[in-house]
Amino acid sequence: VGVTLIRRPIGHKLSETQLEGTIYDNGAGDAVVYVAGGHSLSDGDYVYIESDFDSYNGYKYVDAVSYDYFKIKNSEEGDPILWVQDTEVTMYVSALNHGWQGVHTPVVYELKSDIFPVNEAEEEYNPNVIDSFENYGGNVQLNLDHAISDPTALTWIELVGDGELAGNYQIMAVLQPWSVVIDMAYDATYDFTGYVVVKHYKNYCINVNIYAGYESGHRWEARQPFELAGTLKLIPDANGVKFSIHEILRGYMKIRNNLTLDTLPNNTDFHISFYIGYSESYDDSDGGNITTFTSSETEDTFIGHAVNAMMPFKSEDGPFMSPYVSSGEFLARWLTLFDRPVAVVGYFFDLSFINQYSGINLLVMVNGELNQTITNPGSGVIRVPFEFEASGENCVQVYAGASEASLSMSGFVNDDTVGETWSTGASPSVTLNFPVTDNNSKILYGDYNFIVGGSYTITVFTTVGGSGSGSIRVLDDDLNTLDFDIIVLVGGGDKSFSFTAPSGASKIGFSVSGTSLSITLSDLRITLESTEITERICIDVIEECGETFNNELRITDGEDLRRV
Amino acid sequence: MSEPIYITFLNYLGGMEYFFFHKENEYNLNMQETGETRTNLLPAWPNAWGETADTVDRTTYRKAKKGMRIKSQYLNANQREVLQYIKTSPVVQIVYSRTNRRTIMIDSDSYMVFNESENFATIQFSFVFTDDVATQK
Repeated sequence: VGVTLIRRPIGHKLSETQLEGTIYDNGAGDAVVYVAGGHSLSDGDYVYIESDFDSYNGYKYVDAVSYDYFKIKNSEEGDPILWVQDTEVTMYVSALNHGWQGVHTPVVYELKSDIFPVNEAEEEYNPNVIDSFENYGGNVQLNLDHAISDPTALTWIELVGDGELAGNYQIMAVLQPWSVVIDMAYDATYDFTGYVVVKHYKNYCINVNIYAGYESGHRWEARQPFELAGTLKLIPDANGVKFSIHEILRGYMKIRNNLTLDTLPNNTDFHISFYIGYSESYDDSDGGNITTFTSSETEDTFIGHAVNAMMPFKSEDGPFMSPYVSSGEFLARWLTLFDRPVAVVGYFFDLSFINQYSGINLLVMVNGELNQTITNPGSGVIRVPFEFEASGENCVQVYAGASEASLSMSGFVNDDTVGETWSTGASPSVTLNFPVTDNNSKILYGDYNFIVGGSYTITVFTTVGGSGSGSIRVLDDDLNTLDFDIIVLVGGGDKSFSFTAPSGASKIGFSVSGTSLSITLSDLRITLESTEITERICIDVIEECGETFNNELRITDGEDLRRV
Repeated sequence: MSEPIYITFLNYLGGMEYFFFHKENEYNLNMQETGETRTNLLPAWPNAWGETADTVDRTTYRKAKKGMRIKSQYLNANQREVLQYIKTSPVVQIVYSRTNRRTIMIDSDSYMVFNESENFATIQFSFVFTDDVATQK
């Protein structure tokens, strides 16, 4: 596929730590950010840059070059930002990269093709020039420097150049792979000097399939598994194509207040997950008939979440729900605008928050005591219901419940580092006998939905022959090790590693080293201590028949009691 | 007549807000549409014009919705700020219980703010229910 995904709808939550740097030209025309003393960033990080020049400003992807400077891009797959002028910059590092976004503003992707409208490979890397031309039945026969791509009648070529002959031409006949007749009337005065011949992809378009539903393992996956929500056919220009899928996703939102929804407290009316797949298509030919070629689909691994919300204009977070999926010390803020919501004794009341995590139980604490337990509601917009029985101040906070569970290793795979390969399956194993490459295994890893800041213990149950050492690792999406513990492997048994889940943690990994070691992992258990999820908010609960706000002075005004 | 009323509305973040208005609420009927017709006098002429004649114009139907004007109790700055978003909400309901709610439509033009003091304000607005009241049609 000649299509590259260069922008995804990723939101960021900035840390408050400020970095100062200077942008220079790296000698190749790319802008590099130099940070005296080192930047501590790595590939995959994002920074928010403020400077005097447009090209550098905004959220930028970090392409680390050395400890004290890095290139910047608009996205992981994007081109490096070009240098325009030297300047001082102020930067904030993104502490959280996430996919939670309001559905009422554009949910934007950007794709680029390297074969249309510019056939980069043929035009820039292997240009084909015209050695000679001649008359073939009144049409032009081109004799080329070398064979063209896909020399088939009825396909198209492009003459790339500055002259009047530049343009797209259909191949009428293929005499040799390097000699074709095109639908251009012959004229002996033509001058093809300076033209380059490339394959032209007629009726080219990028096809984008939008999938919407709930992820594997989500509590309500069976009700709404991922399905094809829509297909877009897009014709890119030289910069690619930028498009939004929010109109399609909005169709999954049900704008209503359904308090008997089957999935409550998960308000599935207000949340849908999504990802895209993309392919390319263009006219092809079998030599006698024009057909349509469609490439196989590439499915993006990024899964976003659209919620029935809209962030205010000129928000630092743009359209993303960043303040509500990470607010400093807490992982979620309540979706209310009131500083102190008001509820009435005996009446239904609820507060909503965005839960990013599937597979956890939620403990709702009111004034420090357990009010209710919500069993694995799944990720999404959670409506926490209340019906207060007495007036007064009620302060509410949600925790992830302490849990311990076995994690299947059936889906674990090997990374591509040098080392001995694990046999995969429910009980992965590996044997290291001298000499093996570097006396190491590859890293065996699998996905895990960590709660950032959660206190975890990973316990792995092993059967060991010989001796060696191993590492239990916490990895991010790019398989960078964020935290690890060395374990001694003699005689097998259970080995544990306790840690606080860092931002970006998304995978669990194992590796071992030794010169005479065989190890089988028979079980993997993960323990989570109770963890704060939401901020604490206090609700004023009042009686229906009168104002009984706590601790507030009143004055009489007729029959009313006014707050002062 | 003041009847406390408990209202919920969907905010722009995707959460439901609740507020209890207990200061001054008045029900009323808002006429939506009326239909009138003119009687053909010719068949009963001249009695249709005479001393015992009934009417020339008559009403054939009337449509009305029940509504309410709410004036709030004193609000602090945050409450005043938040409650204005009731005008922008596509879902506004009176809550009687979890399973018993009634959707209403806010008359945005009627929304007024009264600054009662430096720290407090009151608001006033009107709404109508979504369904017609029972009438002879």
